[in-house]
Amino acid sequence: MEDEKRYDLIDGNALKKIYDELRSRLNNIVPLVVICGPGKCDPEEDCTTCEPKKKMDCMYHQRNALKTTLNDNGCIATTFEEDLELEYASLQEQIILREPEVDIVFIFPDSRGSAAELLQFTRDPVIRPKVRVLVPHQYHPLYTESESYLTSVYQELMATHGHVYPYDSRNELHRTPEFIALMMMGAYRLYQLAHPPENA
Amino acid sequence: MSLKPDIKVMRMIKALDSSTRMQIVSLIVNASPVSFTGIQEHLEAVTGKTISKGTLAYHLDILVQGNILMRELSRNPDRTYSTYETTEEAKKTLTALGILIEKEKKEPTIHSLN
Repeated sequence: MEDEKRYDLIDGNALKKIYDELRSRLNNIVPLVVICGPGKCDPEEDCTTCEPKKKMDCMYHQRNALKTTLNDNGCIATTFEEDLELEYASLQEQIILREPEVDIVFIFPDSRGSAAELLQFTRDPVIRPKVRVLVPHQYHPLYTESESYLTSVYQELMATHGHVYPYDSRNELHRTPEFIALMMMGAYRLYQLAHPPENA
Repeated sequence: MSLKPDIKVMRMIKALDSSTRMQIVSLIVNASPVSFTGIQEHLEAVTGKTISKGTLAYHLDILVQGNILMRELSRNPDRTYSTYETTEEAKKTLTALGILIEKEKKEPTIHSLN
């Protein structure tokens, strides 16, 4: 009987109001995302002139495409800016990534150096929960026979951290980085709605 | 001017959610366009602390991505120069937010009294 009374209160208008309120609160959640990855694909070239086919395989272009997509979809996404030709020491990047305002860190590792940096970040207890690693599917440990240093780093991360995702920029065998990131950010927003930070 | 609390406004508010970025915007609103070095010198003078180029670039890029600032790059063979100024949209939104805050002070709504 009590339940029936309660359900009576939730008529169509009330439901619409609840939905609108939740939708509005969801839209008010703006995750701050940092995307780490390689600088220019070829230091000798101006990347803006790269051919479309080359861009599909280039992590620099993947990173910038992801930045644009996330910024167009309600996030604030930033990269360590190469336009200014700044040299970022990894310690300095680490200090920035430790900032509480940084929600998620997407990383496109492309070299032994960046893999070492990736391990450094995932061993930092503050940064670790934020890190999501995006790996071209042909190098992901689940889909390659390679025993390279990078693959072994990915394997270690899969075992100890977990967030290592294969992507396919052609959207044939796997999802694109944009799809993966947008799906994650949608779920992240819902999680934040249900579990708001204590200092919010 | 009315202010619709849409995602663009929320992104601007998120981008402003830092004392460093607030200080940057306060400077640029009053004196745009300002060079990267100009901003760095201003911040160091105001706070009495050094700010690294990397950290400043991080804050500036968040303001650019939040559509509060726009960046103009000019290159020469030796180096790249950048200057920053406030976007028109940010000026309008910040003005509207200022008006709303003033109005709220004069005529508190029921919501704000709760």
